[in-house]
Amino acid sequence: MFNRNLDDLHPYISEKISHFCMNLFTAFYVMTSSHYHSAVYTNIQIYILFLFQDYFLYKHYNRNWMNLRDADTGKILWQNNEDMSSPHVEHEARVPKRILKCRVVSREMNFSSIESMDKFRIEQKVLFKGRCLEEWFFEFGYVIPSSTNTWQSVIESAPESQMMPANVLNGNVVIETKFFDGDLLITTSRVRLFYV
Amino acid sequence: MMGLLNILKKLRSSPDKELRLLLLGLDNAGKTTLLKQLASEDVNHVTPTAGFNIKSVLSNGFKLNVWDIGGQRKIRPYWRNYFENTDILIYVVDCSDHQRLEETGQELAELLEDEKLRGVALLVYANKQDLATALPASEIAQHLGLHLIRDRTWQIQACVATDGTGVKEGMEWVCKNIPTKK
Repeated sequence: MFNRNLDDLHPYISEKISHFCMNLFTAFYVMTSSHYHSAVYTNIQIYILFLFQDYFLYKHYNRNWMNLRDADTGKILWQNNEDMSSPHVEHEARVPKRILKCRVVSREMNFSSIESMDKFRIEQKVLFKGRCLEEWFFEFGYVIPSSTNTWQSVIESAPESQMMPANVLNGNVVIETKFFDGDLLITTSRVRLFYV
Repeated sequence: MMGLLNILKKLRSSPDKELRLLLLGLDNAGKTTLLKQLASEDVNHVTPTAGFNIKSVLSNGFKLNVWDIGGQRKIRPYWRNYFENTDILIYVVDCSDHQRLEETGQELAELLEDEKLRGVALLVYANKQDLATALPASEIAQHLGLHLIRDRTWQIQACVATDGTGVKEGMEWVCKNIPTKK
């Protein structure tokens, strides 16, 4: 679970596909039945679209874990093993307050891809009440098929005098990450930070 | 991350704002351990890399990216996708792996012949010097034919990636050999 092995990615995918097919079957059943109604039809269409997006996501991009470290000591301050890349919801992360005291912080994520990608790149923004505080653009370029990869970025903190206190930041900071293959947007992930 | 931040601090005089280091070598050579050692991270739970590991450091507008690409045989054909814009090539050798000395030499020779890596400075880490069976750096240099290299600067550095011995010295060489122009 912690580091999803490539060998057991396959049943994971096939489960997703069977789930998808079942839903497709249900959708057609409802559509062709006499109780067919346009609102239901629209909802189903949206649902199918979501499933297609998910399927595409699992093929091309799957985030396995993410962590934050005190980069001076290399010690992990926060780690998350659940997938926060799902585009349909805003995720929440509870991060220890003391991270704001660190001089240098690193943000690391681990992701897998079944298919190769030619121009994988991300745009990551740190938003405070919707205002962009910090921006990272990174181009990975080629992604090897059936690969598991990590990317760690190290950020020097603002001087303490310029640092906003935890109670001001709490719940108001969102890390928004957009994933692209070339110009094609694969997914957008939004994680709201709480300092505890 | 102190090691990497320090490289960046020394970069200030360089006109280029971005530096790309590429770590290559056979599987189990110690590339990921070396990368983690540079970032003062725990090196006890390193697993084989089935893709890449990147560390990016940003300081005062300067950017350093270190790329560590998996060394398994099936991944090696993909190495060349990561050659472009490389400033320094770091090649890691497991000096206790006598059986694959020839293989690692062949892989390095192919890298040195590649057009995209032409003229790129080369640092070879002769890793795992703590093992009793490890060959000394001088012998590794001979096996790899480093003395025949004419088209680039190179250096070989004995090291123990797991405890950091020799790693700093190699990085100091990297700092001195950062190209001033791309």
